Amino acid sequence: MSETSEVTAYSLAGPDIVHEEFDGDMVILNLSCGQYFGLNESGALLWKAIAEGHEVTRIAALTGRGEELAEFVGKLRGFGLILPAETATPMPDDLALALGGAAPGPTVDCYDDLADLIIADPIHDTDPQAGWPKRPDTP
Amino acid sequence: MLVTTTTAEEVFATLFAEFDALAAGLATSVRVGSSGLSLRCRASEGAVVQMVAAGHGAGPDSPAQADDIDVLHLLPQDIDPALWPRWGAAYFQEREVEAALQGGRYRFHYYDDLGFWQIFDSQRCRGLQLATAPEALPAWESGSPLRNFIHWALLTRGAGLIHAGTLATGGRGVLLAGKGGSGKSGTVLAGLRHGLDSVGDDYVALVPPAPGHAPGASFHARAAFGCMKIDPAGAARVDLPAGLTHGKPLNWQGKYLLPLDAIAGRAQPADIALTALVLPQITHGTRTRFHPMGPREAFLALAPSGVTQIPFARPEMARCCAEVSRGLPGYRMELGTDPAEIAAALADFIEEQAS
Repeated sequence: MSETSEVTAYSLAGPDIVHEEFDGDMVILNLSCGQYFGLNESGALLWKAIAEGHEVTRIAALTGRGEELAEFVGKLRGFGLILPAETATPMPDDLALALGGAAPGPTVDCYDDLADLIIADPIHDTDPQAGWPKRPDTP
Repeated sequence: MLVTTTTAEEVFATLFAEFDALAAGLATSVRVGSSGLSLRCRASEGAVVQMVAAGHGAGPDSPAQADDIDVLHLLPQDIDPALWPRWGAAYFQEREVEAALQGGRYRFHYYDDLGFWQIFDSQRCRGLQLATAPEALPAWESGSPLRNFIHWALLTRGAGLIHAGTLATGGRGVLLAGKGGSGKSGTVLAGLRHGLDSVGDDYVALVPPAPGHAPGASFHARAAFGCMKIDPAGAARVDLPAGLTHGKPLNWQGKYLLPLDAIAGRAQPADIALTALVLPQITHGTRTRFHPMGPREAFLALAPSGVTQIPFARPEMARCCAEVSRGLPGYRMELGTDPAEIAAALADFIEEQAS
């Protein structure tokens, strides 16, 4: 049995998970490890519904693609972005309408090219000459 | 007092309950302006007060007035030893501590190498800075004194210190983002020496339009510190007058700390309206060129240093960086090699943005 059928809803894994939308592009930052994530339009819509803590079975029913949702949730869990929540929050009508028309194929891509910058310690990971974020032992 | 994630709120409340009594025992004081706020710092010895005054380009203390930020710098002899905070675990895991205390009344920074504390009461905008000895200050404090307190106070007003440079003309200008070595400081220096203004090179206060603002209202950048760090090679590249650096000591990074007014040769503004977010790139091209970039790219350029450089405010700073990335048009700026050409190109760019 997949986790989505056992868990009512999810929440962000902690205050270090922040997400921002730019002209329809969703970017999620994990400030604790420095990874960031890009989602396509369909992924951004599902992320919004999941991160806001709405009932997973309702999301699956609205999209009509429960298996696809379970796989997407599994990826988000694997990346450490969400955790099971004890209760679900009511879904607003406009989000329900949007989920009813959601395109298939949600994707979430992980990037770590900024990780050195985001998790660099500006005190200890600083070369006095070159400045932050060049580590003292960086050639 | 032993500080842990469990006891921190209680320990800090106990310390701040003594604030007025501790302040009464401190003999020296300075009041400076930073980021549009009035900041008062009191200490028992004059060196810290002088450092704060020098870092903010301030004069002597002015008569009593309402202060936006009130900071006490304390040494062990200024306080009952039983009240002195000690971190209660083998290691100080800053990010775990931040996550545990997220959303509370107090923000703090503990630099375990020196046993140095900065604790802020965000309800009263009061700060306590505790150093184990007069010389036991982090090396970077001289360049941006009390920056954590300034940032934490700005957050209570919907603003924040951001790690970026600025250049402007006629009160309008650009925010320059990028990591160390990207050409940000060199661009600011070129601009200052060739007729442009700046409210800061390293940290500036970013003030978003007020909620419910009128269409077209601008983000503003305000001067947080009156000085700029310049390495000797950078000073030579822009023909900085020898009189500005002659006999001046180099800081811990081997750089001069010089007032912006002196570098430019004229008084610098305290506030500018921002018209664009610009990401300088060293390309060694013959001319400076601008290319539009999207808000996502701007955010990913601005956010890493924005969320990392100042402790205990990372989710707020991520939101702040996102807001300015969405609110200002973004451009990549391929830098030419001639400082005068770079400054002229930026002046033309700012004029075009304003029109």
